[in-house]
Amino acid sequence: MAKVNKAQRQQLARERAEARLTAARRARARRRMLLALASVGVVVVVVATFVVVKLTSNSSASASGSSLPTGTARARILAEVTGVPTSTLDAVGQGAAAGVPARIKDGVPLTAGGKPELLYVGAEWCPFCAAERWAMVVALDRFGTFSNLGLTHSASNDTFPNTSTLSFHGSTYTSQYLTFSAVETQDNNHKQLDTPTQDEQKTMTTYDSPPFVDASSAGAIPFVDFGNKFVVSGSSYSPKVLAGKSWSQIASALADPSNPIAKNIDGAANTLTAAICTLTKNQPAAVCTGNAVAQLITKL
Amino acid sequence: MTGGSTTGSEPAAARTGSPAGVGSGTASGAGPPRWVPVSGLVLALAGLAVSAYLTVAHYTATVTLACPNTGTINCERVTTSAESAILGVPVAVLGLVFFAGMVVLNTPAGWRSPRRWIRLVRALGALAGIGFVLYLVYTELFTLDAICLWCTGVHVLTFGLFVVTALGAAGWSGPEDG
Repeated sequence: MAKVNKAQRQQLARERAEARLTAARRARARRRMLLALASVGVVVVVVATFVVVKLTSNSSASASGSSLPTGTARARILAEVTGVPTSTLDAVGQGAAAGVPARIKDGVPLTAGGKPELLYVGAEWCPFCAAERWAMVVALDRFGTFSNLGLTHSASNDTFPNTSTLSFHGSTYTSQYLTFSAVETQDNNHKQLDTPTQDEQKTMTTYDSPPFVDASSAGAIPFVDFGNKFVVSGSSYSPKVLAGKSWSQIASALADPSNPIAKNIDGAANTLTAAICTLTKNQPAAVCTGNAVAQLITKL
Repeated sequence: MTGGSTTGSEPAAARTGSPAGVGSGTASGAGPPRWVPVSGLVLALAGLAVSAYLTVAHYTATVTLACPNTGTINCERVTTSAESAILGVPVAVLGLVFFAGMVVLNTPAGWRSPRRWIRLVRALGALAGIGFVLYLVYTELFTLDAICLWCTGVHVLTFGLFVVTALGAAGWSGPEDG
């Protein structure tokens, strides 16, 4: 009888131990599953937070009229494009620029405020204007100072869509050497921005046509008139090199003479600088007698 | 299901079912639920294929990613950015290596293996993968301001692998289980 009772107690103890083991396993499995689900949930929450923050910031940017780089990002871009080292520009030379501005023979000197005038006519939707503006800012910054330069991109439904660029609309430029007049006729949605004056329209009609430019480029923008001494109709390099690049990527590439973007933009800037030097009587000397620019002046 | 067979009795999970049903499904031997290795292998192979395409596009000038350019959606802006390489190694190549490893770790044999270090490497791999994906998503949204659809595909596949690995690890049963 005692043996039977002992066997029953042992059996009961085994069953209790097994039940405890079972309960412990179930609890452990539940904890592991909760941990797995929690880790997945954390990832989902993080991604959702990213998206919400992004959409919220885009909404506020749209409300203020722009989804472009702002604040310190914008300041850094403008600092880089207006601060390309002279050593880089000298190293690039003409770079990958297509050519030099075309000379206008016997043009009536174009002046404003007692200084030679550089006239630009373009539009924000125009991808070739988008390309040219980068080079123009690099070049003009060597003779004066820009303020309130804008950031924009070319039209999304044109060739080289959404090319990142700067805008002259609303900007000012001061220089002791020349006057810069910029006309951005339309924004990237083809809405009216700036209207050229009658004189500016007359200058463009006269010099943005043969024999001063190729017949195929007649009336094209960007149109850049260097005091009626030189003219550029169309961009000095292909916008293709800027395809898919952000403002910051383009701006940060300008200091590297081996970068294809620098070879195009800095190279074009050097050709524009050479033409501007002919207007300013090679002033400032530090700019116009530099190796690259001096060599390009001989090509004009 | 014979997980926990070292006790000599039928395991509790087999009798009661485990939470969310993920503990059931293996025909015999140690391992995860049956759907886990199949899903993991499919996801890893898909990720390997997309990563291979991105790697070829990275190294071949004549291959351009089939991707629309609508401003925010812009593969070229992403894949040619400074952030597209880590210490000189293209992110596409890192993805290729990651998915190649995950293919091996997600084979049925890999999932059935009782070796703890294999489960550990698989879990750490999935964790590292999803962590890197979060970094890349952040970079796309806030640094580059552009989304690459192919990269997003890789991110979704990596997330899927992370989910499968997490649930598979939670539902894994075997000699070392417990």
